[in-house]
Amino acid sequence: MASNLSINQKESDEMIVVELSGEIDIDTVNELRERLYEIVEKYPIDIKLDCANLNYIDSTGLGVLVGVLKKVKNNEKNIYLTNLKNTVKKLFLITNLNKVFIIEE
Amino acid sequence: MKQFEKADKNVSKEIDLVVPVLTEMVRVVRLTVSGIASTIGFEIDTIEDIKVAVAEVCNRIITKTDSNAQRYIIKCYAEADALKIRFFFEDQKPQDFELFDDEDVFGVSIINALVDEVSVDLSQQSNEIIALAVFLKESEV
Repeated sequence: MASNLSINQKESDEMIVVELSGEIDIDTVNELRERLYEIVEKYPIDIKLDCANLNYIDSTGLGVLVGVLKKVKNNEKNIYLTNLKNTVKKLFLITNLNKVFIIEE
Repeated sequence: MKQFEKADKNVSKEIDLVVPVLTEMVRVVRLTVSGIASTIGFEIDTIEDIKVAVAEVCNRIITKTDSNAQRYIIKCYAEADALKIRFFFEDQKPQDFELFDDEDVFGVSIINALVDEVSVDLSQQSNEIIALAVFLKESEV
């Protein structure tokens, strides 16, 4: 079955933008973990996750994002989430992760 | 044609899914349950909630079930004003099985927030794991 998640990155001096498209679930979460951990290792700068085309995330995906945030914070940097769809944002609110991540409106 | 006319049958609207214990099948479950929920008349936001909650249960079953397990069963009851979904092991419930543990904070929060009723069957005699229920709101009736 083809992966239902696409991850594209755009680099700049100050920040790396990661575009997440499709669905983050128990089937695609390992791909997300590997890619984001790679990015954090390679670029010790702020990360912006552009979720404009992210249609779905589950608790496994949220768990990976928390793990990545810990690594980014170790570098004294941060993760910014932008363009969240309401259905995705709702899960950040339910789990109180809206207080942990910087969510840009 | 007469054979396609709606018959006034008193047939239970129960749909059973027998699902392989595979991560890629959770997506299939999400889509199927969304379809069932839409036939009852739930609004799109509620359908999305049901889909998310059901997938969280599937995630837990997949991660907590031993590697020998092949399939689990989801029974969806499409009632006039509610969707009830019960999850079962195909075989006997494993000894000391716990669907949720301390590490599942996100999953538990999500399920509790998105459905109206949750009941976990702790009985070792039953092969039922958990049951969810979502009721139509007044605006959806």
